[in-house]
Amino acid sequence: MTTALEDRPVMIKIHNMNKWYGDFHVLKGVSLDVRKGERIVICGPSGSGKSTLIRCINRLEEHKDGDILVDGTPLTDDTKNIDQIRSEVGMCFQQFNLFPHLTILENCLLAPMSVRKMSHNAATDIAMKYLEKVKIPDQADKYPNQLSGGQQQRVAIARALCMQPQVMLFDEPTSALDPEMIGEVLEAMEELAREGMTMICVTHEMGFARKVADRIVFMDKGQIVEINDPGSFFDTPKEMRTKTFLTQVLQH
Amino acid sequence: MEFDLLAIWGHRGILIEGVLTTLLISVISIPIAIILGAGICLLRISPKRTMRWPAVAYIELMRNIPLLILIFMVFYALPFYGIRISGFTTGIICLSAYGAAYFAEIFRGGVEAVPKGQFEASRALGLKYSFYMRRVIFPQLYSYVFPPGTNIALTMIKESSLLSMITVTELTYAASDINGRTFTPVETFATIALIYWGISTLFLKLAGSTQARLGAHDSNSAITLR
Repeated sequence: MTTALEDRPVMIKIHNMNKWYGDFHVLKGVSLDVRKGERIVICGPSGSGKSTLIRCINRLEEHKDGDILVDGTPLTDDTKNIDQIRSEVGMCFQQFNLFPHLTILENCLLAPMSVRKMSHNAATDIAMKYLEKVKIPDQADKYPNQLSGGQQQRVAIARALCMQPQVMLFDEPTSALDPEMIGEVLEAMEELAREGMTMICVTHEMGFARKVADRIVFMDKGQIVEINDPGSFFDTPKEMRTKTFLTQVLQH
Repeated sequence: MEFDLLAIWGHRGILIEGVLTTLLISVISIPIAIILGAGICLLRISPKRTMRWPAVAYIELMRNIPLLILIFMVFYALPFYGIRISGFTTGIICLSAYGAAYFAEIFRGGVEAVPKGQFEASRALGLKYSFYMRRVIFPQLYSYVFPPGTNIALTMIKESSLLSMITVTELTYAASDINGRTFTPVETFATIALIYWGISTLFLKLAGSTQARLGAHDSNSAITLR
């Protein structure tokens, strides 16, 4: 943490972005700058558009209006440009989405070898390095279904890291997990945060948000309601809607 | 009325030729139909409308006309345009073309049954469409496509009997031939039915064991292996 956040280059710039599903206005004039190395947690009630927002960043969803720039490159329909951006932006999903017919190691090798054109050996080295980082190198030859949910999600993190992305997106990574497995996944994410990865996490884990986030973004009904640092967000939230939300999630 | 199997035994040569021809037509047509079907499926699910449209038209055409009419068109109508194709080759072409349309739809159903997250994870990793279809999606298909695919292949084997109408000397033609010579319709057609039943049963056994063998590497069976 040598340079102050404000001095670091902007990694992701979202400017006045709108998106509709048919007539339904999912994202309404959303603007957000994420600086290099910044950890953002997005929270909000379900249906507030937070997943849709991060899915727009790697264009799993297309925005209709406004701009998204990833490391200076604007997101357009240009396929080359999208593939390029996707290789720089890693993503973890709620349902892990490991490839069930491939072993853990093969899951990690596929993209580096095909997209980065790495040799099998080089890719294996990197894969094992990240599998060790998430503490499951000994499962490398197993198939995803032989692993617990928490282990699968950690593999999914390792698989994304094998592309050595600049940014990591997490779309409710612990929501599909049994409670006793949430800790191990959050731990892997905290480790990643300590190393300075730029991260955008959609999550309901408020403990994680308080501990790890540089800024917390609260969304409701397709809009960003409040952006605040964790201390102020939890203790002295500016907006009424934030207060209501917090009393609902924190009483459990 | 007596059951005169000796009359059929006397013409066993015709029967054997019939069985062999039926098997040969099936063994050639089914793989062609599968490969052609996979290709048509790729067109059918393409994001580009110009590629989807011909595939849709083809599938609709094949599904909505009787196979026998297709056979007659190729065998009797094409010669008017100077294209003459032997009965055997006509059989291969028509059965393959017919089966391919069904296989294409089965493959499409399989692709749609693969969870959406598999496509999203592939795209999020930056994999190219043709690469992830080949390495991620298609390998997950067979547990979805094997059972209906087996049905279509079986249908193709049995529908090859239509080729008797254009003098291909397959099993059904052989039966008509023997019946014409011996006038023993009960014995002849009972025997033929039994042979079709035998071929079908053998085929199903083969398909079943193949699926089980492939399934040993399947993710779904990994659960039971655990």
